[in-house]
Amino acid sequence: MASKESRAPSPQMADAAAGPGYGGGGMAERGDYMAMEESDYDAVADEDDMVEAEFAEAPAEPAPPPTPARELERTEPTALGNSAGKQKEPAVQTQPDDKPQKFTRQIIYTADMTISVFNQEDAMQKAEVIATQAGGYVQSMSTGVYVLRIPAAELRRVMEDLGGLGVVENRNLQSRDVTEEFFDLKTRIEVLEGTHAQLLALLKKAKSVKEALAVREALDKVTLELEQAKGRLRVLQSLIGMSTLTVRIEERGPHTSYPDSDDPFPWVDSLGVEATEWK
Amino acid sequence: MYKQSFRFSLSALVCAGLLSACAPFSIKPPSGFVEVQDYSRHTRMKAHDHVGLSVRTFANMRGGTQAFWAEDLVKKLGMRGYTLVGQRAVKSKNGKVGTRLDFNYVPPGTDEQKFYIAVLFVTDEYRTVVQLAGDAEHSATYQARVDEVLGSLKVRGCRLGSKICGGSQPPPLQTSPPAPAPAQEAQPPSGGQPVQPVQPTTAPVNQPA
Repeated sequence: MASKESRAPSPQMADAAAGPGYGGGGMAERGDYMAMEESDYDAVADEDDMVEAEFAEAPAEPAPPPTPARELERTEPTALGNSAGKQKEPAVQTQPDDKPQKFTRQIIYTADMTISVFNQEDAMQKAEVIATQAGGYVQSMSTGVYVLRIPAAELRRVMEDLGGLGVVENRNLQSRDVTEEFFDLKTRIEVLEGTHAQLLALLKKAKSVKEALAVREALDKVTLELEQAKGRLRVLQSLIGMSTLTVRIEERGPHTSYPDSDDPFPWVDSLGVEATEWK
Repeated sequence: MYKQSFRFSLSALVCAGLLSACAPFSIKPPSGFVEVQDYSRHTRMKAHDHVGLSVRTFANMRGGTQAFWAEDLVKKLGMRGYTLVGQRAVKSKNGKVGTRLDFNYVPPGTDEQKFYIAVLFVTDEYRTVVQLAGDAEHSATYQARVDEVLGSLKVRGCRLGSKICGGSQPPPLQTSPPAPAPAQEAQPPSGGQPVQPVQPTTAPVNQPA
């Protein structure tokens, strides 16, 4: 069965999953539970299980470019480590229950850089090609500014390639360790799934409408909470897997063709061929 | 009524004349050039073959002489990849002596050969630089027209008894090999092959008028 992530064309969808419309495990999406038969409840339960199965299978999907789910397989912070590209079996999800879980670092990388070039338009086209070839995409663009989403494993190389377009005026790389939040969410999801299954079992055993309603109410709360946790986890996986790189491309004129901030007489900066010739 | 109009017109003329006289320089577009930008301290013109003519002024500073600023100009352009191929003294229309500096240049990241001529005039008040630049194929044509261009240029800013305006020419200058190119440029600027070297340099002109 194809995983949810593999069906999604880009992590944007994963981002969107965390939107206000997500978490639809509650009443509104499932319809009027009062009118449902017990078999309907089973169907709902099966559907929930299906979603879970898809979620669990996701890391094993080998589809390039790296999806957020695949990033779970990383063993080292990807943006800075050479072993970033090496894919392993997901340590957390494939551990047998009786063995201690192996906690791998989960890090979100955010970078920005400013490049000055002689031909801004040309450089912007090349920047887009570099991002696309690395498996990334342009999240937004305005004059001279790109916001790129780059697979974390490729971030460093992409920054080096972009730097080759001109002179790198500044470069920043920030990381945020979300390991704790990541595993908290996973634990929370496991607990909620257990509770969800127990409530479904209780629902099947309900002997009166009153009992069924009480269990159903609890089940809805747990479902909603479960879906919210899954949505947040998907967002985290997207941010971990695809780093955000903001690139500012500035045009260099003769005044910036040779950086020399110590010049007490910078008059020559405004002279030269570029300042004189007309094209 | 007419009297008032006459007075107003006269005042306007006087003001315009004073402003003109106070401008750091004046230049008429040489034949083949049209003026595309005109500011009090910066004028730009272009020809059909995309050769640009620009006149730009900067305030002079105490102690700043023709020799000092010419050396500063050559040194810094050399650091940017310009190659000095000619140097000689020239005169403006109003007799101010300047230094003509001819360069070859290849913009970083390209293989386009360019010519660049800078003529520097230093007065008590201003540094005025006349620039001509374009593709190297036009260098011979415009190198021959520099004197014509300067023949329509008036440079101002000299004080009575000025030592700056009558100052000596710089010694023969040369550009040092270009400094390391700006980091990671596609192609570092090469010094460029000499295009059309002007006649041997440092030839003094007659005494300033």
